[in-house]
Amino acid sequence: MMKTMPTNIFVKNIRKSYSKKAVLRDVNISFEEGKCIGIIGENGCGKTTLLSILSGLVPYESGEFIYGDTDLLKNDAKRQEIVGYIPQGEPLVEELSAMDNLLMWYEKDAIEKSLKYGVLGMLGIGMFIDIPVKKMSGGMKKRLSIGCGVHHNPKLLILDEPTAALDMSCREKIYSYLKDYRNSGNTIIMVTHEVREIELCDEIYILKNGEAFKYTYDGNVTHLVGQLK
Amino acid sequence: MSFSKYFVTQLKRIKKLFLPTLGFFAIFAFILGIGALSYVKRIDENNKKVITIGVVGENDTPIISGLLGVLEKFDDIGYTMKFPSMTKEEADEAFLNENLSAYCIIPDGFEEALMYDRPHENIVFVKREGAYGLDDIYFSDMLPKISEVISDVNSGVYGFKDAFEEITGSYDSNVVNDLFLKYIDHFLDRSELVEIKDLTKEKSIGEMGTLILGLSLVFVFLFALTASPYFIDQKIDFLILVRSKGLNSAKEILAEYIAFLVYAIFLTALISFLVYAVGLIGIIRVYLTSGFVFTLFLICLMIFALQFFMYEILNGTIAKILAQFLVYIFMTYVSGYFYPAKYFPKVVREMGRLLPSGVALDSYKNAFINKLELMDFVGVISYMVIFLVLTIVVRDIKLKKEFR
Repeated sequence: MMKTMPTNIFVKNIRKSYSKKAVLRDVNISFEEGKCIGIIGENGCGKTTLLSILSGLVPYESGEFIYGDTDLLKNDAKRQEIVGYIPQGEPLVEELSAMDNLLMWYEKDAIEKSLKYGVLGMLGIGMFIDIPVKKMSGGMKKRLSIGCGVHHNPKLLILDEPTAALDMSCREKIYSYLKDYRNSGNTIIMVTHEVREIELCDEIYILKNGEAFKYTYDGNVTHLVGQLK
Repeated sequence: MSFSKYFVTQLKRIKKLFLPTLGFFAIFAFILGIGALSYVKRIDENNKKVITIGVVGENDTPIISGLLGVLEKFDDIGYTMKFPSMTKEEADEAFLNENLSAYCIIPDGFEEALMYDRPHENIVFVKREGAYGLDDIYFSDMLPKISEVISDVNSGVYGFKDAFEEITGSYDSNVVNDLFLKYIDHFLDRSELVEIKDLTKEKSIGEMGTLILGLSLVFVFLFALTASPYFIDQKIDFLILVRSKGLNSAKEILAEYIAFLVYAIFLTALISFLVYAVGLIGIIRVYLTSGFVFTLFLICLMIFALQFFMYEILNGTIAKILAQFLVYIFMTYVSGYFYPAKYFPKVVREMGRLLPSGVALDSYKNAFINKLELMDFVGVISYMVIFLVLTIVVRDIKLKKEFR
């Protein structure tokens, strides 16, 4: 394991404490645009905290999130334009239909267009567009969540365990979309516990003791698990 | 995400509440209907309501005591009237405790002054508006009967004169005759004899009026329960995503609350209809003024602001609904919605008056009797603002805690 060298996207010196207990001591991650970055670690190690800081949701003590020459943590408008965030649960309005949920984020014309040629079609949302979220399966909800989260065609997508507790077919749909998204030159940062998602990543970082360490995954899960502790 | 899109989404969510609320309203209307039937049946069975009017001062003179005796014995005005004799202090206390519907003060020497056509002080009739429709009884039922008595007396006087003439062959008691006629003239011109003092504002609207109004406000509190899905179905992950797009707690709560205005208008219309229906049945007199409807609307908003706060601060669906129910029942009970607050210890009465439910009931009662003052709105609006600010603070803390 070794500390990484910065390239064109940097997460620099992120620090965060809760009640004087340091959760993130000095997190440094750097990678190139167009990559898929996986962040893994044991429960409670600060993965979700890191993602929520990068998404501008939680105040932090110090650090930077440099995209090109912009610190996205200090420029809210730019961050909202570049970053798309999909939280771990389903960020949906339960009693409304898929269409009503999408209308919060898209214009009506854009939804129709995207259902035919874009990301909404790729995620198969047209199949359940009029169904209330309450009546949807977990997979439908997750696909709709991603559809809502990428409404503004973000260049960088932050996902928190995107396929947790989903069936295989639904996972494959999401993997397929994520591959396509990355192959289009966009960047992904995702927290994951799934081997299949780890295999999708170009680079893996292990979050341990409040710091991030780059890890080269060679398919040996036992070794990977050993590194987490 | 823009404020307007978030607001439109909240409106769509509010729209989903209308049908369950109407269902809930139908159930309440049914219960109320049963209650009204029982009330009407009870009136039919007893055939009368008892109206007690205290009499202070000179009431043992022949004409006045006779007149009161006659009124007590009337059985065709739909009410049993009682005229207990009492001192001014006793009357004040009984009126304050709502054991009297009204009382009248007859000045000393009143009847004698009438008899000899001397100047006299007026009778003072102290009343309040609202309970039992006393105004209706007094002006519509009682006064015509008094006139009837006087007419009977008039006929009696002439009957007596005719009889006297028939028996004695002559009638020259002009003094007695004049006295009777003067008495009748004075009595028919009621405005010169009676001064009406309305203590509606200083006192209250009576036990029955308070109870009916209190119960209608309980409906508002309970109807707020039908809005619980609005709060429960709002998932924290959705708020996280919204937050990541730049909308803060203040804007979120404001959009949600403004959307709730529509629901408050809907609920105000339902409750106003309910109160109007109670008026139609005749339990209390009801004037649906714009002030009353507006106050009810403000109270709905205050109750919703409290609901926003409670649902924000509590966790778990069952805990939220149960806590809401218990808090509302406790507050409304202590504030005298179910049972007259005058029977509670002083400290409980004071607490009940200061709680949001007490402030709401005071404003509501004043609106009902058309005696609204600025302070009635200040209390309700202050609570509304306090609850909303607290809700914003709690949501902010809650979202930050989510990432621990």
